[in-house]
Amino acid sequence: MKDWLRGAIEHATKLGASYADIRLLNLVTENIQVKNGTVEAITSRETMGFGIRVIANGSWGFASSSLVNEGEMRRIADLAVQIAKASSTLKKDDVVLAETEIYQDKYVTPIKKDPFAVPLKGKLAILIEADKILRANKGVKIAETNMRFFRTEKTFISSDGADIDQVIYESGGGIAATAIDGDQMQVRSFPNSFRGNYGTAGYEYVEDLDLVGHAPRVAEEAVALLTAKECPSKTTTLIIGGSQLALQVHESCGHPIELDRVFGMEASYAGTSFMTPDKLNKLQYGSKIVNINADATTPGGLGTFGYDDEGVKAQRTPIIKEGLFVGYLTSRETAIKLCQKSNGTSRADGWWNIPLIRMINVNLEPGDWEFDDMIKDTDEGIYVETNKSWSIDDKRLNFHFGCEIGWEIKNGKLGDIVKNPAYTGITPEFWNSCDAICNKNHWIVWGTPNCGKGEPSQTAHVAHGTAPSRFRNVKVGVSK
Amino acid sequence: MIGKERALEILQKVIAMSDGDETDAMLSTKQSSLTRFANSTIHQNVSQTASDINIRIVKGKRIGVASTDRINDEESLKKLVKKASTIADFQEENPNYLGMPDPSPVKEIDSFCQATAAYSPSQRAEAVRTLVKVCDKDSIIASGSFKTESNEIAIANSKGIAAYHPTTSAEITTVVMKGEQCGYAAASSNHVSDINIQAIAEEATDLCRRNVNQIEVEPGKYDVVLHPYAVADLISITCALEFGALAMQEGRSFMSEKMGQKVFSDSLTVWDDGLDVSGMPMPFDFEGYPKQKVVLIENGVAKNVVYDTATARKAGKPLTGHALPPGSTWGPIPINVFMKPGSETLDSLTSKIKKGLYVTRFHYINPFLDIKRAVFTGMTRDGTFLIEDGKMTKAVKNLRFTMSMIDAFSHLDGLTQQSMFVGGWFGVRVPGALIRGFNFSGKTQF
Repeated sequence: MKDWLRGAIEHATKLGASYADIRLLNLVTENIQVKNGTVEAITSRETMGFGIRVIANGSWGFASSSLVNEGEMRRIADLAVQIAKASSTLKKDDVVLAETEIYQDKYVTPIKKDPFAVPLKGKLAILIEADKILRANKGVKIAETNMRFFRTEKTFISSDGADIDQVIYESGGGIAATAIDGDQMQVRSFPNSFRGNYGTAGYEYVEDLDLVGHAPRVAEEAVALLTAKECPSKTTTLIIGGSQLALQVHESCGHPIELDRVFGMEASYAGTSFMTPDKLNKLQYGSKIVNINADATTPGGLGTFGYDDEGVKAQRTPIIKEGLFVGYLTSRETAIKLCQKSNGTSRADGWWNIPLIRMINVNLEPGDWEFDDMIKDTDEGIYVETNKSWSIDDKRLNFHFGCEIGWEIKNGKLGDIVKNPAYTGITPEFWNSCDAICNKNHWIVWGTPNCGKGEPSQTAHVAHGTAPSRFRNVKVGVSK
Repeated sequence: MIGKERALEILQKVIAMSDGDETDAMLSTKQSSLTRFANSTIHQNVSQTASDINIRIVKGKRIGVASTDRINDEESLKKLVKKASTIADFQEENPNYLGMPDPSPVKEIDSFCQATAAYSPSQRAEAVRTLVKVCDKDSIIASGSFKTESNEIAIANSKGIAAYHPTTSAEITTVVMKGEQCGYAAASSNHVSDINIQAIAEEATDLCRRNVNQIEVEPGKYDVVLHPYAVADLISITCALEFGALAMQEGRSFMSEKMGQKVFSDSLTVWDDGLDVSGMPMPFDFEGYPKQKVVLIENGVAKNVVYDTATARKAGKPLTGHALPPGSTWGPIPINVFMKPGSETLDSLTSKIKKGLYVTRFHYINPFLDIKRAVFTGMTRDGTFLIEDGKMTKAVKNLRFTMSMIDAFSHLDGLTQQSMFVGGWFGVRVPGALIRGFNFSGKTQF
């Protein structure tokens, strides 16, 4: 097979490509969903194909196909070069790639249990038991439990001489209880909303989640929310739980530091960024205790891999250092414009898409607070957990998040549950109001398997390590 | 494209291999090309050739679903059938499974355009050059995408359904910018010749020129005129979340309580029609059942939801042809949505407002704050203007809205005569609208 891949690269080069790479992927997924005692879906999907990316006449071209044979690879190489030549009719400058080390290597996600070798029966037993416990609470109208597993085998070969094989395993799952009373509906989820938490790991990841053990609390909280008081509308101190803070990092830091977005390459779709190059090393993005790193080597993170889809080795890059904005997520094409090397974040969704700059594990580093001490240290405020809704403007400044649940904080103690908590703010003001971050005992890597970007639309698997943190003077209760 | 005969032949072959009591299968192929431009140059340019076959095998009430993209490989097809069969063997009984649909005549609709299917990278580049040329005249920077695509879908089941539909689509969107100014335009059709690049370029650049020196306005309730781009976002999400039978049966939708009630303004009438060629037609659903026209809202009254086989049989209602692909647990949703126009123009709607805002489109709408009250939040984008004494007077910085769509569309006070097809998954055809007391909850800095 590798001869075919090399042959396609050579063919593209002969047709005029100054650079070419090919990615061959075989992606296997398994999805199991149980709802109200019924196994709603067990689906298995396998897709194999390849994509060829070339630079010809100084412009990009890309073509892909699910028909994997030598002749089709040559046809697609031909098409990619034709497309690049069409692109070059509307260019200003030639595409130039930053230098990078060239690797011939293999990488396999370290796992203990191959999720695809675990019998369905065992997986179903966990999901059905968790579902049963959720429904044992009569206030729960909809119980949902699920697991998903991915295995991606990919080979990357470039005209620069790279030859990299990777096998990435991803596993995850979650549970959710929905309580409904008339025109009110409340949901509680574990370990995170929108189908749980995910990591690059084997089946042991799902076992460690203990979905069954958390089901009684999840059900109780969903039902309790129906009769809870509404989150008050006010400006107050806000303590944000880890999974919600992960999405806050994602939307208000992860996206605006994508250098392609900064350069306007996503302007027509997701938008641009307020974190422009003139602000690099100057913008006080957050308070002195805010440190954020992009790290594709975080053990078990959903954004962890060996090499990105340009053959750049996984690495760790400082983004926010003591509150100062110091780095971007980059690709070979964009890094060179800042006289840098790529920091390895260029990734494609499947064989059918081009690589784009995508978040990896963009982590808020732990602070030094115990959670209980943080609550004790707070006279008045709201503690919120688990994302319900998210929205942010096209430069990533004004954000609005809704959460599943909140608790009042009064005189250093957690008080009553409040429902429909939401908060809003402006990104740098918000991060500069951060005055406490919990320590590594509370730090969890939250996997997001549904980050959207690009046209055609691509979905990336990314993650954020976070611990509960405190923010002052935040506008809460804006859900109407 | 492999054609009707070959597509149905492959489906019959996999159905014949199945050991299930009932089996259905869906085959799709796609040739999709997209030219993306930014900073007035083509920076991404891609093509995808893809195929997929999905099989659902049912044994009693135990269901197994599997899919692969190797549609022409005999061994892969055998493996696919075996995988789905094995999953069904391991499955628990699903009491909600109420059988596959019986065959019913499907109307043939011609939505395939050879010129669109054959549109080349050079033609797309030429179109983008035309757009950039208009922008260049005023030193405006262009970004956007131009997609041309051909698809075919075939669905068959062991009860005799055998449906096939080829289609094409062309879609362009552009955001043009000059400093802090920006404008937007988009068009979508089955036929690439319907896309008037020059008109798109002029619409976007005209908006950009007017969207200058944006002032800040305070959040609060404003009467708003919404361009069809903005109406499309609100209506399509509302319909998808609230007007599916499963959402209603599970109590997730406001339709659980409001079916048959007057919920919205008299002037709001919305329906789903997969056969209307002024939209992006699709004559059958993902179970192969023919699409029926369903009136969702009539003169403000919540009238109907859409059904697939499972939800229709559970409710004792006729099927409406709105199933999603096998394996989806979302339930049926309306995907070919139309909104009845009125008699106004955007200008005449604007003239009815003493003080308010004009919104070109919304950005990043999230509908999950309170699904049962359809509370959405999102930002304005690419052209928001102050209306004073019946006229658009100044460009304004973007605002965040947070509002129940029940409240919004119960304060609908006028619709334009002209409707517009706005692309999306299958897109929606909607007019422009005047809504009184639209709630803006926040603001941003640009």
